[in-house]
Amino acid sequence: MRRFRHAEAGPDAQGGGTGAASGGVDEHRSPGLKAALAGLSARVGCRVLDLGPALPANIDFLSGFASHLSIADLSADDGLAPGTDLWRRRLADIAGPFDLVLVWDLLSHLDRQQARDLVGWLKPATRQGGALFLLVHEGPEMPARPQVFEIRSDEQILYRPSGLGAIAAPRFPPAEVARLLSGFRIDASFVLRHGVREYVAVRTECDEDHSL
Amino acid sequence: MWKKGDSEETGVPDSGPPRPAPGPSGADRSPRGTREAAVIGPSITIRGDVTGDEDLTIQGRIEGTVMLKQHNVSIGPEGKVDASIHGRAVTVEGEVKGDLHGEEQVVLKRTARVQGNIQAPRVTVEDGARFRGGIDMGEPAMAPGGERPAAARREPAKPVEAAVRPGASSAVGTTRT
Repeated sequence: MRRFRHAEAGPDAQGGGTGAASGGVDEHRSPGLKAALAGLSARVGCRVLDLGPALPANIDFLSGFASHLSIADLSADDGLAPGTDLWRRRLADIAGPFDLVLVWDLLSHLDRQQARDLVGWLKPATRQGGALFLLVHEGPEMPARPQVFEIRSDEQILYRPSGLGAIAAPRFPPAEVARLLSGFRIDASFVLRHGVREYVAVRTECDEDHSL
Repeated sequence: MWKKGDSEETGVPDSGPPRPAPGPSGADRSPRGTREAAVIGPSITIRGDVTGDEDLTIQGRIEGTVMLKQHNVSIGPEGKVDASIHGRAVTVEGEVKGDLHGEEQVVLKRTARVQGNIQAPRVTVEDGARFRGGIDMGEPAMAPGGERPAAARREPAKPVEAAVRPGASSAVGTTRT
């Protein structure tokens, strides 16, 4: 089996956790990730795009599924700051189509125009039938910066804090997420106890068909 | 095969030859211990193609290509490379903008900053390394008995019972964990 070597990433908090906006390291169940990966397991030569940073644990885990992994690290160095297009330049060299895109919680940290632009980029970059996996903060608060998410298993994710406090949330209620994801159909969504909703959105032929 | 290494403290990749050239400090020796690696010092800038027949440690700056397919290439913490690098084992502690091709392996140490694509049978990424680009992994290996590797050998999720229509106001059909 192909493996990456990596050092363990900091302390591990099991169980319920203290909430996504608390600044703590929490581990949470992720039925959405499991659903997203289930769609991959039958495919050969999968291509995965991770919009988060390069984490050894994630690379290691995804190597069991993907023949190609692209990492965009969009949020590094304020790449998602309002009014900037640094994120777009970071995607410039990345070639799809992908079978799975790990968007994580980036959508919650974009203004609406940026979110539309990002989805507009993802649409042709996602293979028909391919999926986006997103986390959207729905509690009263969310971390001020995108968190780092470490895959611990196919249904367990460690949330690493951004360390910059919390800001008001949500910015995107479910109906708006569905509208934003033009060209994708929301196959599943899961509300988690800690105020995050997971979405699995599947690329469709028809741009209008974006909800169940 | 992608393998998990065994030396956390030293960061030295998996045992077995070849090993990348040691870090930039101290005497750099080849895996066989018979020859020191060539060093491009921190004040040196090279624009063009670098080829050769010995291991290389880069502490300076290179713009072009580095082609040492049979030898180990190390980019030290102060090294800055704007080039594609071909080596037997490629170890990065500094900054690289370009593709990394390792005949045997590529190692990104925790201080590495890499933008480009990686091609190697084994890739080691240490926590803290910054990487943006693509990794070609080949097909996921099949475990003995024809099973997929552990990470992929998962049961398909049950039909999504918790799927909810976006905007639905009730919690019906919604999974709370």
